[in-house]
Amino acid sequence: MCFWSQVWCEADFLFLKEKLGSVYPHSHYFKSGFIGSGLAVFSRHRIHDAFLYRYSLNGYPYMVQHGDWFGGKAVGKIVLGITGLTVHVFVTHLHAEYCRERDSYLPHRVVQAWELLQFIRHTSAGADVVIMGGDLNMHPDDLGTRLLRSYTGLKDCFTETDSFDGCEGGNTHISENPFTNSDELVPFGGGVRIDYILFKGSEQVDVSCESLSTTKGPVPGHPFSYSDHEALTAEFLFTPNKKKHQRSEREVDCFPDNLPDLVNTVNEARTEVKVGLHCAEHMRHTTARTGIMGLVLLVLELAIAAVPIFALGDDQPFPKASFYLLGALCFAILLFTSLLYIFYSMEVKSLQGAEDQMRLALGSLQERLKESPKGLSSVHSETVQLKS
Amino acid sequence: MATERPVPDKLRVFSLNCWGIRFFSQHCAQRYEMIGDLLDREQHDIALLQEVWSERDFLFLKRKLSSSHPYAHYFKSGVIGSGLAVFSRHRIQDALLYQYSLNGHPYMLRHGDWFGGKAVGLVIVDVFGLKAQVYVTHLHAEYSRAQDEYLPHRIVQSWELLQFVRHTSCGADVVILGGDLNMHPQDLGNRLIRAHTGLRDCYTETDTFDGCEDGHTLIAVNHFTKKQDLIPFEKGIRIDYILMKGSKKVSMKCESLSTTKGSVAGKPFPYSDHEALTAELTLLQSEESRQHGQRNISDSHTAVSEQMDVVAEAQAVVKEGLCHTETLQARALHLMGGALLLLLLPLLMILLPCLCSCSHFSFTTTGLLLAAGAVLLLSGLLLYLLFTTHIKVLKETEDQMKLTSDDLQSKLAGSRASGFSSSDGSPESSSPFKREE
Repeated sequence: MCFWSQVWCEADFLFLKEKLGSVYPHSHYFKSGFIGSGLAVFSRHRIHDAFLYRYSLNGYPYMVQHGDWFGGKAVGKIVLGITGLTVHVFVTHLHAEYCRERDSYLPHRVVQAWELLQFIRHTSAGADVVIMGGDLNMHPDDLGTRLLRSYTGLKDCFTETDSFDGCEGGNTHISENPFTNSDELVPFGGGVRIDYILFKGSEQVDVSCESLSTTKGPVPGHPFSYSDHEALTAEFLFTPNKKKHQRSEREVDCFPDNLPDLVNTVNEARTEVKVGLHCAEHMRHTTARTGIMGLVLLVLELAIAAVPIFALGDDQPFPKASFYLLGALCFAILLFTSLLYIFYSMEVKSLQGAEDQMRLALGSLQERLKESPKGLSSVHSETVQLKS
Repeated sequence: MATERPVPDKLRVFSLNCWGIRFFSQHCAQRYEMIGDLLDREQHDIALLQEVWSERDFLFLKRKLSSSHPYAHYFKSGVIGSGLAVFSRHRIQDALLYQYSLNGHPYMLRHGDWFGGKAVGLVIVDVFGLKAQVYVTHLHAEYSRAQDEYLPHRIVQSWELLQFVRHTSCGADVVILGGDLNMHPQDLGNRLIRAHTGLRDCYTETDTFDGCEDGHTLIAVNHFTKKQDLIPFEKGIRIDYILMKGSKKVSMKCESLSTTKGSVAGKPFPYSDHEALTAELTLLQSEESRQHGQRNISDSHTAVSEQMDVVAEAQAVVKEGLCHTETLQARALHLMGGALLLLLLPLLMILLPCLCSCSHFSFTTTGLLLAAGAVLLLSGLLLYLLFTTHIKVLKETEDQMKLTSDDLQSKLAGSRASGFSSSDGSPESSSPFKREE
């Protein structure tokens, strides 16, 4: 199967669908947002079902130069039947990182990572095999990636495989690629690993990654590469699991061994979300204040306009041009601040919602930690004080 | 955990649309006091509330119910929503929110649904050692049954609701869905949800019902109801539901269902403009429950055919919605075109005075034209953005329905050839790899 992200134009998807019709007779194109989601799946195996979960936060509509907001980023899920196994496949694309030192989109990306892991956890109970592929726009040890892996139990093909052929460090965004801005990658030694294929098995099936490869920039015989990102190819081996575990399938996603780490990671994520929430509330407050000032100015102007009606003379005290311009400015301020207020309110709600879910999850993890004999000895003292 | 337990467990579930629109709903604060007293007194296992728009009201209830219902969750989405709250006597282990992709239009201020960020909330509750998945939801209101412009939105919401329930309830022992679906029992969306999730309506399942005639939850005799909103249904309509289903491990039965009847004893007004539902469910954990949980082969054929028919019907509604939205998108483009003309006109007049012998274009007129042009251009742009997003959602829903329809088609063809075991509406039910233990 193939996962594609940033297939923004449906005409391109249809072109690929036609071209690949004999090799990949089954496909699905996930649609969301204004030009998105950009996610497409091509499969040799029949697609039984598809479901889309759109992230509640995805940048800002006024950041037109970045454009993520218009992309309607989401996680798409498809259900395949492969040799009698139920395979759940997730494809996704998270918000881009434009400036690592001052990442104003970090809270959005953390919330997206949280919603992604929650979606995978809650919808993969009946799966024999779970595969997730996509552009996470996060380095392997970034908060969101650690959160995703530790809470879902998904394994990274790059770290799991013994046979790797590709860019150094498994990088998927490299300076050798003619489409990449090499200057941005200099601090990272010429490349970053931000695209992943993750996987896990189940009680029924053991899954191992036999090999992983990436493209290495230019394509032989062609003047340029397939994309500004490198492509990943993973080969999996499914082995029926003869051992029967007592543990029920729904417990699989959280392993007792890494519970303390998981608690720390969720706590870290919650802190980032709180920071984002604080910023969003501040922006909303500023917007409201600006809007009110605009309204006051408009009312003042209307009052001034009413003066000649009550005055004895009929000469207008203020020049018409500036009067109308000021009026137009006030109206524009009111309009834009209203729209921004609505947007920031939704952002605040989404951040609060994510924080509530994280708090709930921490409570459950804490309970599990108390019940687990290993957890009691290894938990950090600061993670115990979680109840707020 | 699947030990033999001859004595069934009981679970009491409550659902109410609280009508908690501050400054608009009547006697909001007093009614929340009444609702709090009711929940504290009755001590339902799980209470599912909708239209709790203000977080302050949720916090009030949370404080009031802290001893009877120590676990609570408030789902936040949209601008003022989602309005969904859960109070539980049993521990809430996890929560997930799925916001519906379509929920009315932002310019329909008098309806206001768009601002509500309607969604379905899922809480996972530990009930008697069982994993109970409880869903609470509120769908788009129906303002005119004769000309329901929001029908495609409600069908998309129904589809996303059923998909969410199907995809998240695989590992559940008990599934409960409560809320205001804003649909009559035989409406398309309701049939779609029941056929594809296998959820059963407590009202039709129970032998013991005490409440309004025909289980109505929005009734004419309610103090707050506007009689003209119920026309042509004189007495009332049934639009609030508690649905449920068990699993291989647990069979569920609705022992009794009751509704409030428009007034509260000793109080001058009811709890809300909707009636409250209370269901008493019994959960039977045993090996025998497998027989109750499964359907026989002949039922499966019927179930699959029914699923196919209802999806086809839904596809038609979505297609119609798509056509209509494409028309609206075109109109938005025309609006933008007209606005650009309005903006160009005064500029042309200024730059080409030879064309205009008269000097009607005063500064005021020019200014007004430019202002009108700018406002119309911005409106057209925002509307174009909105309708394009809606078209994407409708097309995605159409594609998902087609996939499901094709899948059902092949199931039917496969079953005719060889027969298969029970279909419970879950996506994985047809996998031959799934072994019966």
